[in-house]
This record gives sequence, structure tokens and C-alpha cells, in this order.
Amino acid sequence: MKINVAYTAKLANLPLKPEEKEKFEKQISEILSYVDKLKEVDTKNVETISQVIGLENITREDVTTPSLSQDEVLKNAKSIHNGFFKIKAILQE
Amino acid sequence: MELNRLTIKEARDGFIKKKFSSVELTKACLKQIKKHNKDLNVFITITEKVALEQAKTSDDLASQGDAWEARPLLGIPIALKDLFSTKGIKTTAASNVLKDYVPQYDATVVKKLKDAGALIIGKLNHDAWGHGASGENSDFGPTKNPWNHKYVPGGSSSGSGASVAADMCLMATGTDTGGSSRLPAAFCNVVGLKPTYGRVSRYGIISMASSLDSIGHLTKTVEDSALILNITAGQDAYDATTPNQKVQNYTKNLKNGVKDLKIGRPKEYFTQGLDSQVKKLMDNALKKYEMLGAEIVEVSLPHTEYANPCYYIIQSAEVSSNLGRYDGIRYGSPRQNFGEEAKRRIMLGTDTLSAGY
Repeated sequence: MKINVAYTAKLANLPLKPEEKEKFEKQISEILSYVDKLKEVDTKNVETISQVIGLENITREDVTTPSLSQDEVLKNAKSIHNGFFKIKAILQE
Repeated sequence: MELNRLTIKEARDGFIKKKFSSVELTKACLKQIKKHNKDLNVFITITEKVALEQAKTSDDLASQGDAWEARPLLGIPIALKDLFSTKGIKTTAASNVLKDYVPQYDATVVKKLKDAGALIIGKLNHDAWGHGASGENSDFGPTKNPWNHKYVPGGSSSGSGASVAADMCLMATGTDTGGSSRLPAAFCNVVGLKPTYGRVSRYGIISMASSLDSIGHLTKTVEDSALILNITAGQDAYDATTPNQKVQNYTKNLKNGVKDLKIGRPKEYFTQGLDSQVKKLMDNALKKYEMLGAEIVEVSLPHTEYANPCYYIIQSAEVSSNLGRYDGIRYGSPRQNFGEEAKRRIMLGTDTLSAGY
């Protein structure tokens, strides 16, 4: 089973060098062949689960509580401006 | 005997009987770290100054008789796997992406351990992002096994196993998603615990696979392990996957040992792929448990061979999602700085999640 490496890397926002693309294409194809063995299992009458705890709808009151300050939130950013995160332009004029 | 070789229980008893101070114990641990860290590469960050300050504070508090009632770990030097957010202390996930990241808050478990009086001696090396089973996948170099430097300490909590085995601290935290606290414990001959999912809060601990991650710890004895679980277990409002279930006193039944407990021996674990030396040791261990009063029950786990492929899919899918937040904008450096293993899992996970679209 082959994967579309360029497409997947774009979805994952992962810049890859050509050698990396080649390497991962091969490795991931091998892994996908390995997991193919799951097709042997008949899950027709098996209930799907996505969690084992059994908790549902864990909510809290919609009131503001102490949180991080603006300064703390910006502390690790490489680029800030007037209390905002600064990033490259997305929309062009 | 050097103080750093004590267990948590022994250290506490020693403090209470005023045989030595937390400063002396902490200095002994720091001495051991300085002696061996270069060779073993166990610690990414050593917080010597803060640890000694806290040790001094602990000694001052200890003079008040019942100090250990409120703070069962008062004065005990511990270390944290570098996935655990520590306010003001660099937390790297053993990755170049976070090599300069300083969290602005403590993980819930870190807060609980600090409130219990423990002092943090440093942040431990591990397979970057928890991706690994040997300790060889850290962006900051592999950790070595203290018993024999040519051997791996196991992973991903490699520094946790090595630090406890080498008596650099009295307890190390770990995470366990597919064996990452248990493996280094086994490889380094210490006690490792993977609590039931949801028993210990994951808040503030860098996520690997959110439906699988379990927050564990490594100690020198089973009793110490129970002491720690008493502190770390419990519901947390910041982690919606922690049920509102009472935390028992895990030390209560230790004296019963394994008497009358049933231990399952899955027949699928003892197939032809098993190394004969390992099989011998496993059977010896089971015989020992039987001698101690446990009942060994043959069981069958017929889907054992499908566990690994399942894990590959589920874990990598969740990893690709969890690592999506590292965009280099709010924190961290750009995504090309991920190590090879992280990139591979992100790619595999992204591919899995996009299947069918």
C-alpha cells in the first residue's frame, strides 16, 4: 500500500526534504502492509469503543476562573507585537 | 551507607528520627548526579540551586513535629521525566522543537508532588515525545543503562529508570503509553508502575496518545511506589478523563504480599518467538509467586497478535493530532526540527486519519 507522501506531508504541515520523503514513503508502506493483518479479524458483532473510562459529557459551570496572564501566554513566542502573537501574512492585499 | 541509596520510606524515617537532613540527602543525590551524568546522560536539566533551597526549607519545616502528616514527601529529592510541565523550569520533551521552552504552569501531578513536600532535583532525558522503547531516540543523545553502559536502559522513560537505579534520586516520574514506565523499570531493575488509565491526571504532561497515556512512576521498592500513587492518584478538574473515584490507601494491603492473588499466565505470551533465557526467568518468577501464595492461572488472550498493529494505528493517529499544536508560533521552534521518529509517526498518523477522505 503506497501513501501519497507529498499530500500527507502537506496535511501534516511537515516540511520534508526529498530524501526524507523517499525514506518515509518506503517505511510507511511497510508499516501499512504489516497492519493489514488486522483484516483477518471479524469485527461484525463487536461493539466499537473509543474510550474505556465510560465517562460522558464532563462539563463545568460556564464562569471565568483564574487563568494564565497575557504575559505568561506570550512568554515563549519568538515573535510578538503589542501583546499579540505575530505571524506571517495569510491574506494578501 | 550513602544517603542517596535510601528508599523514600527509609529517608522519611531518618528525617523523623533526626539522623540526617534533607540538605544532606539532596547533596548526596547531587554528588551522584555530577559523578555519573556525563557518562550516562540521564538528566537534561539539573536544578541544583532550587533543590538545595527547597531542601533547606524542608529542614526548617521538619522541625515542627507532625510535618509529615501534611506533607508525606517532605524533603525527598525526586526527578521528573521532561514531558512534565514545570513552571519556570525548561521542559523540552527531549526534542529540539522545545529545547528552549519554559512552561508557565505546573502539571497537576507536579503540583501534587510539590504540595506533598517533594523537591525536584532535575528533568530527565527520555525518547523524544515518548516515542521509543530503548532511550535511544532522544534529540539530546541516548541514555545508558547504569548497570552496564553498553546496554540500553529501556524507554521511553529512560532517564527515569537510570536515575532511580543509579541512586540519583529517590523517585522518578514516567509516562506509559505502550510500556514506557514498565520497560525502563525492568531494564534497570527498579519498580515501575503504570496506573490504570484515568487514575492519575494527565494535565500539563505533554501528550502522546491521549486515549492511552498513563502517568506513572519508578521507585526502588513496591512500598515507595504505593506511597507515590497515594499522592498522584485522584480526579482532576483539568483532566476530564479522570473519574470521580475514591483514592484508596495503596499501602494498606502491602503486608499481605501476593497471598491469594490470581496471576494470569497468557499462553500467547509464551510462543516460539520468546527467547529461552527470558522464558526461564519468567517461569522462575511465576514459581516464586506461587511459593509466596499466589495462584497462577493459565489464560488465553486470543487477539494478542493484533495488539501491536492496533497500537501502530491508534497511537500514531493520536500522536499526529497531538503534535499538531507545535507550530513554532506560540512556543517552540519550527516543525522541521522534529526528530526522525517523530516525523515518521506524524506521517503515519496523518495518513491513517486522512484515509477515506
